[in-house]
Amino acid sequence: MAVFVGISAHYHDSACCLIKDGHLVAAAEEERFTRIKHDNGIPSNAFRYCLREAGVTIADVTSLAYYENPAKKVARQLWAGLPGILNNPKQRFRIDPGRAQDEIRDCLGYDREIEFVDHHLSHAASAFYFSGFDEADIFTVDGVGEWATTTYGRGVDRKIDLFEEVSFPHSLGLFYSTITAYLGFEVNDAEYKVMGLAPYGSPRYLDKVLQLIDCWDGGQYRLNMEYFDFLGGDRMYSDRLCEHFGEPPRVPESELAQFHKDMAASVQRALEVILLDKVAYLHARHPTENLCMAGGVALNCVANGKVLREGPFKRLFVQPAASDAGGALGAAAVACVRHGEDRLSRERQKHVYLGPKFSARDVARVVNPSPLKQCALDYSEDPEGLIQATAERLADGKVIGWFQGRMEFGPRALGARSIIADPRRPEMRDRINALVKMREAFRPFAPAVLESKMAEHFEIDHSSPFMLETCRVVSSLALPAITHVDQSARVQTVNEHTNKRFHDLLIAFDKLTGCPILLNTSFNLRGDAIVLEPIHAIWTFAISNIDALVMEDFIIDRTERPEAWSEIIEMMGARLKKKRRAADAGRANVYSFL
Amino acid sequence: MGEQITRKELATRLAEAIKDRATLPLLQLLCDAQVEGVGEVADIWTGPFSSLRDDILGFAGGEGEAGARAVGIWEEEPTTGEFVRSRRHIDLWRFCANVDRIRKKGNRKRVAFLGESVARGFFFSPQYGPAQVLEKQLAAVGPSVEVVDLAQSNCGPWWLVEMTRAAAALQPDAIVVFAGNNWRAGSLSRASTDAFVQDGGLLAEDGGLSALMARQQRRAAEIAEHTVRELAKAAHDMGVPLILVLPEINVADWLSCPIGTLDVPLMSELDTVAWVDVFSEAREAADAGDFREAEDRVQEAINLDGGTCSASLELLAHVQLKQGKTREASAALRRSRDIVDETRVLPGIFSVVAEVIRKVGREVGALVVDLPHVYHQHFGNSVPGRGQFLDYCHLNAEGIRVAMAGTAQAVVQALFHSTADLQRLVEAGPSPSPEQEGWAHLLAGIHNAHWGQGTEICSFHFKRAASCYPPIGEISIPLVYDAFRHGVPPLLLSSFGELVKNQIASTYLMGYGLIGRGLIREHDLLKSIVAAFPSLGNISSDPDFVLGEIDELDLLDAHWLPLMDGNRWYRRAFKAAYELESAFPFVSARSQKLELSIVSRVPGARQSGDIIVKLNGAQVGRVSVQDQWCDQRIVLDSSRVKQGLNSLRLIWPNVPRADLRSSLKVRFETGQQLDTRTHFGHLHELRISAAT
Repeated sequence: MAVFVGISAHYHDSACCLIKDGHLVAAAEEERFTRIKHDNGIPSNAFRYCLREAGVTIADVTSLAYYENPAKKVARQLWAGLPGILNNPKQRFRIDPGRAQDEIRDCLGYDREIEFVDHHLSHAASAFYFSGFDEADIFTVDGVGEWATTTYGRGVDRKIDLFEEVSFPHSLGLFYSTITAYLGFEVNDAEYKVMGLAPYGSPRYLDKVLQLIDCWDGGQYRLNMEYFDFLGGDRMYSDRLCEHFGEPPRVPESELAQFHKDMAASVQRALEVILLDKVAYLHARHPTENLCMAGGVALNCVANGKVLREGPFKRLFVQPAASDAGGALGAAAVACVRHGEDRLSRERQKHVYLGPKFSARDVARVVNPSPLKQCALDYSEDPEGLIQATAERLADGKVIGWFQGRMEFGPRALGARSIIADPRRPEMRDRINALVKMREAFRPFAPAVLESKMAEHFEIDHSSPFMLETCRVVSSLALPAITHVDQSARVQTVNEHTNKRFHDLLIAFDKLTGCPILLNTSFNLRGDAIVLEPIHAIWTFAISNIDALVMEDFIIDRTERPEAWSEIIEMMGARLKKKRRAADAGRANVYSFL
Repeated sequence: MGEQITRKELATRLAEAIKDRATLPLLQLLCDAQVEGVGEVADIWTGPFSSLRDDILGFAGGEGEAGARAVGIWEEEPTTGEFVRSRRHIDLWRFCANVDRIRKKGNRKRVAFLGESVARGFFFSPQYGPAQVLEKQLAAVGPSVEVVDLAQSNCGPWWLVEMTRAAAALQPDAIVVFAGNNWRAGSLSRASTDAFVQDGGLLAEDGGLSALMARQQRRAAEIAEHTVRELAKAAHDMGVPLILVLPEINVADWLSCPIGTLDVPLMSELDTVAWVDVFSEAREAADAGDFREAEDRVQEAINLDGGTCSASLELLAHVQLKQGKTREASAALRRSRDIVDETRVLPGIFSVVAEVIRKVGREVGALVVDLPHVYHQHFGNSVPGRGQFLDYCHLNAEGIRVAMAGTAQAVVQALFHSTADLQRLVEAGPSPSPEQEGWAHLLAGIHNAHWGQGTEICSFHFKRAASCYPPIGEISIPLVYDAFRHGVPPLLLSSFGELVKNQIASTYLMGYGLIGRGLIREHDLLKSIVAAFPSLGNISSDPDFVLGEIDELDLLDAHWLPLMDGNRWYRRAFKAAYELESAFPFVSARSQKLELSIVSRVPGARQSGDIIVKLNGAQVGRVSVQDQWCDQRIVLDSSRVKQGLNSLRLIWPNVPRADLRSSLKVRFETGQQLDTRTHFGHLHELRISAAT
């Protein structure tokens, strides 16, 4: 038996995965267990889960790999953060190159040698080894790892060669994050809001945005550093950038003006222009039909769509956990290869259902002693009835918490821990926002569509199971809840092989309504991690206003809430507001370079 | 560009140097880090209390909506000038007095009453508490005085000073501050550069932990002095007298070291083996009734651990009490309560802090109500315990009445320059209703169990609850039993809704209770309830995890860890055994053959040894263990497995183990979380299933 564990931690979204006998059998982000959003601590809970899911113990682990090289990273951390390090002992502790090893020993109990895998090699491996391609070009783009911010590489069989890199501070990820900060959104979290805002504007500032970055022939580019401030520690942009655009930075949570929308459109277009240029270069260096992408920038699904449609590659695989969490996957795979393990499966990753699952008994354990039991229906003897009853509720306009099977790995809820609704209803976007998500009105929700009928409704000719591409909505149905202002949608295609119950639900909903599409968003409250277990689901259901919870074989309809819960909701609401205010006050709108 | 290249080169060279970890701490010497003062958030915000941190920080600035003046959760209403409880602070209502509106000052003298949870009347809140007792006592001996209750549970020194300053808006004639239980030093990593160098060195030395704790005590004393001076300054600025009420703690009936665990400091290889030997001998002698021998042996253990271990001090106190050495036992127990341990941040005033309040309080002209002295005078020579307290520091009704009588004497002196008789004041103090007192004891029983106290004291509170108010025994205790026996948080249960219909229960369970516990092992609580109410023993204590109805149990699941397990403070994927014997209760549907899977190690073990596995008191197997993880299985014969509750115990071998203190120094110098206690073993897996 060969067991390889991958760990990512100490920046954001820590995670653990496990490859057993060449197959990825488990992966999970730590935040789901601790309920601390973007938890970056050593993933001790996720590690325990992975061992258990794989049916192994720590004594069976062949090798444990960490997703970056702290010794290489420390010089870059010093470069970027020396003033802060000298003035703040806590920051000093973050640059300790021995911290990862110590905490892996102390927190996980792993006492053998640790494989350190360079950050971008982890990203590259997370894409290539799970792409199903025998040969592919590899393009990784993020904020920064050790020194690299962008790498160009090539994968053949089990060999990955990253032959060129762009070094910090020149970074497309930081470039995008800087404008995100300038637009008053949270860095390292809200870049996707800028992407969502872009269609509301016009790229009228494209030329000015492109002046921020010198895009050279070949793979290199350079940020024009007079517009950026990665050293001050207070913000990412300089006064010069504000002067350049003639507007002050937007105050967070303030009204969005047309300028902000146009800026979002401009930076999004700039990113697409540069990415297309660089993938063309990569293709020119090593012509092939296949491209693999990973790194936080690869979560920009609008750009991904452009890369595939307008770029030189015929096929694109983006690691669905493209950000740092996915680095755990790549690190484990690299360790597997380094150990000469030739059993590493080269199958394409078909799904992301790699997290914990819970039995009907586990669910009953939570539901039965609770006040919700009186409005719970048990369909354990009638799975078809469960699907039908759920579809009927959706057709009636109900918003449903959908908790089924193994939890997703990565940032997207893809039909295991989802909130779902009828996408045809004009009011649905506002309703879900009011009920549970409380997010900006401009952000669209995403659709899940039956793969067999995707082409009838979306301009897409291949499966898109991970919601990593956008495409045009061409449906004859009005789908206001999932159609963006530019008529695009971020599609998840669903087939019966990867998520049968979700597939069955889409079929049942289609039969009832003629619509094989559901609105699909993550099952969490604003600011919370996505639910993991039945207790989280039932509590999220209890304190939100979701109409029904479909959890494994149970359907629980909303009923009058116990008085104590109502009091707690008000208490929690007050506490949440203070937490946000404290976070806003304490958060420099800046990427942490440590 | 040139500057950047130079910077990169310098960073690279510095990074090369830092690869040698001894170099990293040098950066600290370049820092200008200062000792954190009273203005910083103290360690009380770690662990289960951390979720309150932002709430309290949300007060910063002392202003309400639209810049209105505010005193804690009360904000000034512009139209009336009255201070109204703000709904935006509803999450803190249960931590504060249940007062909607503080009216403008009338003709009566006004006392602003500030403090921590003891001053709040924890367990009685919001229906009964020190402030209302004080007001009644004052009314009985002189002109009526208004006591404005501004005490707040979880109040730290920084917030206490802020609140005192803000209280000026209420125009008080005197300030009473009943606090000191939450005044403690920050964690080691927050220390100054000077302290950093010295602290790190101490960690690796024999007796170093003892010296380090003394340093932390001195830091707590510095914070206390700063706090007293700031309080005095605030009172001086208002031109009113300051009365400091110096808290007392529960000495006789509170164990610092949770039952069944140990807090043995890391020591040298030989000292650890010796400590285990003499401590075990002491326990055996105590069990055999040879208390003199036990005292001698445990003194040897204390000599080895330097007085940094509550377990040895509390065993010493136990055998001294058995010999009638009350004064010595009391001293040992107070030493135990003075131990600084970051894994159990419990309120309770340190001796050094008490001394500072006495000394500096008088220096700054405050009147000091010395509760240890008041209690000693009033209750005689007995060691303070369950006669005055409900838990580690929170007072029962009698404790409150006597404490407030002492306070009333000081208020009368400060406001009216006269005196009042303590006994008369005690008698004038109202008592809670039987129902209120019953609820206080019921909640105290839950609280004591959650904080690792023994069955006897927990059962005492449950019995008292029912004797105070019989319906509690008939209705409420069965509801508590049901609310805490499931594998889901009580909050999600129907019985919880019934319980919190009572206002006192709601305040505790939905205020502190929601924060103080997550999913924890409740066998100790349930066992204590059954000890007091045996009829409840017929109801399964663990209905969701019955072996036989489910295939296997993961005994290391978070559900199985008690709240006071030190592992909760460290993000571990395994259980570190701080105890010589690790106990795991589980429920079986029937007598059946079981398989036990154990993945274990003894960290730093120099040689292998055997874990002795006991089931329901009988040895059922041995498992070889060394310093590497070992994966082993043993079969538990069906004749040993009972239907219902079973007790699995693992007894760790006392093998020589490496001295880990040097690694502690490195951890400290690189800012990592320190665990200064000995792990007698590690369990990465402990699973029990039906044998095939």
